[in-house]
Amino acid sequence: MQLSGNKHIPASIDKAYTLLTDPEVLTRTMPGLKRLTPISEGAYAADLEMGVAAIKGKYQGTMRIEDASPPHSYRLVLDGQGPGGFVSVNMSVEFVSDGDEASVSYQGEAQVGGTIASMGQRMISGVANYLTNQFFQNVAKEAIQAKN
Amino acid sequence: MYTAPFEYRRADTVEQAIGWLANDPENSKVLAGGHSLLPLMKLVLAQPQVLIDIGRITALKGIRIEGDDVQIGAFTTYREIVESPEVNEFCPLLAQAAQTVGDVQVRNRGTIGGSLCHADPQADMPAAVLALDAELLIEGPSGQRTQSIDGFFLAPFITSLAPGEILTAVKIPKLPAGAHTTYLKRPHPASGYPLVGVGIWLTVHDQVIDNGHIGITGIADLPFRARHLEDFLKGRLLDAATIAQAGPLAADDANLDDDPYKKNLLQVYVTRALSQFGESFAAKGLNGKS
Ligand SMILES: Cc1cc2nc3c(=O)[nH]c(=O)nc-3n(C[C@H](O)[C@H](O)[C@H](O)COP(=O)(O)OP(=O)(O)OC[C@H]3O[C@@H](n4cnc5c(N)ncnc54)[C@H](O)[C@@H]3O)c2cc1C
Repeated sequence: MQLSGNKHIPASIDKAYTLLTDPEVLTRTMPGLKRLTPISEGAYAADLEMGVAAIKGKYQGTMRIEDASPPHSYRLVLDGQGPGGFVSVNMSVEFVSDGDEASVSYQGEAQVGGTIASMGQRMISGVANYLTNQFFQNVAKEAIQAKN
Repeated sequence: MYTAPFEYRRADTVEQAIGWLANDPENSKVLAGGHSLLPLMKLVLAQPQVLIDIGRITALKGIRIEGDDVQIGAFTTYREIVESPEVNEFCPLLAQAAQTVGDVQVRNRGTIGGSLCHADPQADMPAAVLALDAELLIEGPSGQRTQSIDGFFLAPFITSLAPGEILTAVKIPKLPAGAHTTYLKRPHPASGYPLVGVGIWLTVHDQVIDNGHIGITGIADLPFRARHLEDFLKGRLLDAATIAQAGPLAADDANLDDDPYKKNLLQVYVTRALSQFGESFAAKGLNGKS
């Protein structure tokens, strides 16, 4: 499944990059992400609780930030496993200044397997889009708070 | 397939159910007909620790007229909707959609509340309740609220219902007298769920459409109202030329991922649904007063 999109964060690219790679900010902003525990440089063990309406479950996995080139780009590699199956995501994230704001583009692929995949790709991508939008809205709020 | 272990509780009142939910809203689930929740639990996609059965709460059952509305308890089954004289008189579209859901067993057990709260983008009822401008009555720890059906569905399987809240009833304004209704679906050959489902009501005078709403399910991420199409239809003759122009407009309000198959399927089903009205008027002498 392809994942791609472009969002604006009301902050400089330096600030936006810092927000999006800070484990504390991520646990506050990413829906369902409960904990990120550092395991090595740029790598974290992640605990997620998915609570999408009827679909509930605890997922464990890892998150890695690779090819980091602050404040321009990095690659985000996520692997998760839980009762409903597995999810792995590999996407590149790019930051470009756009006036006072940072334009953040992401592009990559998500693989989903196990019973969760039987829900159909369209459902999953609908949920993924919704969660991504929530995530970026939360990050934008953090960026505004950080300014004030 | 077995579910993860859970505790089962049967509530006698809405207050009791809300009280139990409030103990641990994140890990508790309301159980209605169980026709969506239990399969998910068997697939271990859902692992609630507490199930709160609302099937014995009398306040959540039944259909009655309240002024200009038909009020349907959340724990009212598809079958009760199909057979209800009130529904068939004042909002037949709801019965037409309910009639197409699953098989007899599903219609005997599945509830309107369960269908809406589950928010499967391929469920049938959302097309009808959207077209009918339903209002949802919701109760939670901080009291009651009403929510228009517009804005209830946020994403597939996600609604504006907070974890501690219960849907108690669906309020449907009576349709204008003489409104024509239809629900047309293309069932998935294996599951029976709609690949596309089109729910329409129209009022027509002297073959001119004065008003109408169209709800569409199954084909996009979310069920939606085809508002562009509704605006286009108002004031036009309900004839072959209008229907031909109308078909493609339904896609204006939906995200179909630029998929030509979906676009075509939607257009074909909207055209067919509108043509059914054309045919029924032709049979009745085109006066639109059936
Ligand atoms: C074989 C089969 C075929 C089917 N075919 C179709 C079809 O063609 N078209 C179609 O639309 N559907 C179809 N369904 C789904 C069916 O309509 C379900 O019954 C319905 O989606 C859920 O209603 P329920 O009462 O069974 O809810 P449940 O499964 O008990 O609950 C569903 C979800 O809603 C929540 N919930 C239920 N009631 C409330 C409430 N009052 N307040 C808050 N939360 C609540 C539950 O916690 C759960 O998360 C089919 C199901 C089966 C098993």
